[in-house]
Amino acid sequence: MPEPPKEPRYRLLGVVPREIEVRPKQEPEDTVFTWPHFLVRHAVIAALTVAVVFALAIAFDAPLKDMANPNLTPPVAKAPWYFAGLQELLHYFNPMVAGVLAPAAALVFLAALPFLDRAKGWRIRDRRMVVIVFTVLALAAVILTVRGGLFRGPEWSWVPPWEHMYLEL
Amino acid sequence: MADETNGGRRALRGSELYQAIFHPGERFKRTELYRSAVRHPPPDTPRGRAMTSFHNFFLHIYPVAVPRKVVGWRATFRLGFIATVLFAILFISGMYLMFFYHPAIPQAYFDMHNLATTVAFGQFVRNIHRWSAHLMVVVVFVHLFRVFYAGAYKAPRQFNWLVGVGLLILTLLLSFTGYLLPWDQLAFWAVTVGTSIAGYVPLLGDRAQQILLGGPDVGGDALLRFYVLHIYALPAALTLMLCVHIWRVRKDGFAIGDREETGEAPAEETPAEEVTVGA
Repeated sequence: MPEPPKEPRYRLLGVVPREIEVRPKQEPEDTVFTWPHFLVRHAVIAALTVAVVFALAIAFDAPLKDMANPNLTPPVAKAPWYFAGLQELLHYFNPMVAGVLAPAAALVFLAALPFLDRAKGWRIRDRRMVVIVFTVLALAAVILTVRGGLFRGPEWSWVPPWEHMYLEL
Repeated sequence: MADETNGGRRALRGSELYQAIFHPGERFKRTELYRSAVRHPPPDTPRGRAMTSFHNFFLHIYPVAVPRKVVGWRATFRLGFIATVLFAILFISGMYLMFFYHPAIPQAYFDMHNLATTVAFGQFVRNIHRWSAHLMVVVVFVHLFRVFYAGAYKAPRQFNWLVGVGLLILTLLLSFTGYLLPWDQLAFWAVTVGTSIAGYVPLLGDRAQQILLGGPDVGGDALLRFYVLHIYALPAALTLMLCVHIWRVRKDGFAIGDREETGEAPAEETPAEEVTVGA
């Protein structure tokens, strides 16, 4: 059996550049213990969330229509509300553009966002360009969703929700 | 006289019987069973609080200490946590619904009526499942907006933003697949409209629709496919990604409390340090 070396051998893994070496460390007093300070707050939020869901469940029943019938088209067939914007888009463009390319482009933009944004700072004034582009796209999505969800009736005609509500949750 | 009474009271309080009646928990905490399960000291000292985190499996997703700024409500509005709680509610209520649901035509629709009429709390649990699903979609979107406007996708959190986009897609798919399961007119036509788009996917075309629905139309095969995706595949994927997401949040130093002083995002790369280790 070989004897263990008397002194441990060392190897160099990296070298610290000078300016990082003198960087001040974060103040240790800046933190609080997770137990109980953070956990108590999480428990309160969880309880409130459950309370809201229970209140909704008591107040409103989930909808249930007649049994599915492929031969009986309803006056307006709406996608779930979060796809109502896409359905509205389908009204203006052909399905290839509105149904496939637009959502795919939106998702790719969303996923690539941190890599597209080359601005140095994190504040809004440091990255005006990306904030403007994102806000415009988000507003467009919200407007389309509201129009498609709330303002459309039979044959995708314009029906304001105060005249008749065609949106089901 | 007074001393005697106090002494007597102290003796009474120290007695086994008094402790057993008025502090049953303390007695239980001295048992071998409790000591073997809970090994940390009581959390009334800093050391005890740290050890409570270290020694608890369920708390190991949290760090032992968090930046003070992150504890405040306005740091994140707790949106990610609320979404996670909603997912937990959906997980539990969904399991209850599974006991009374058959993914077949027309039994699926009859099961909805059974839930409303004969199953204990059936309608209530279905309501919970439905409203927390809608809420989860809303909260996930608001979470995305909050993170964007806070600039919290910037280095070193780019990858976690990517994971978050994946979680958004999974949330929408979960909601959409669940939408079909009641098999009523609302479900059928919403999913018919939603999946008709799949026919336009480039290259695949009708085949994409075929894979999704198991046929040219929304029918029994589509119901079964959506069911399996809804109760098994998508929740499993979401749970896994959620673990990565939360783990990354922790590794990246929680919300953005670390940015207040400099006004700049933290350094992109972890600085190299001169590290020596025993070979």
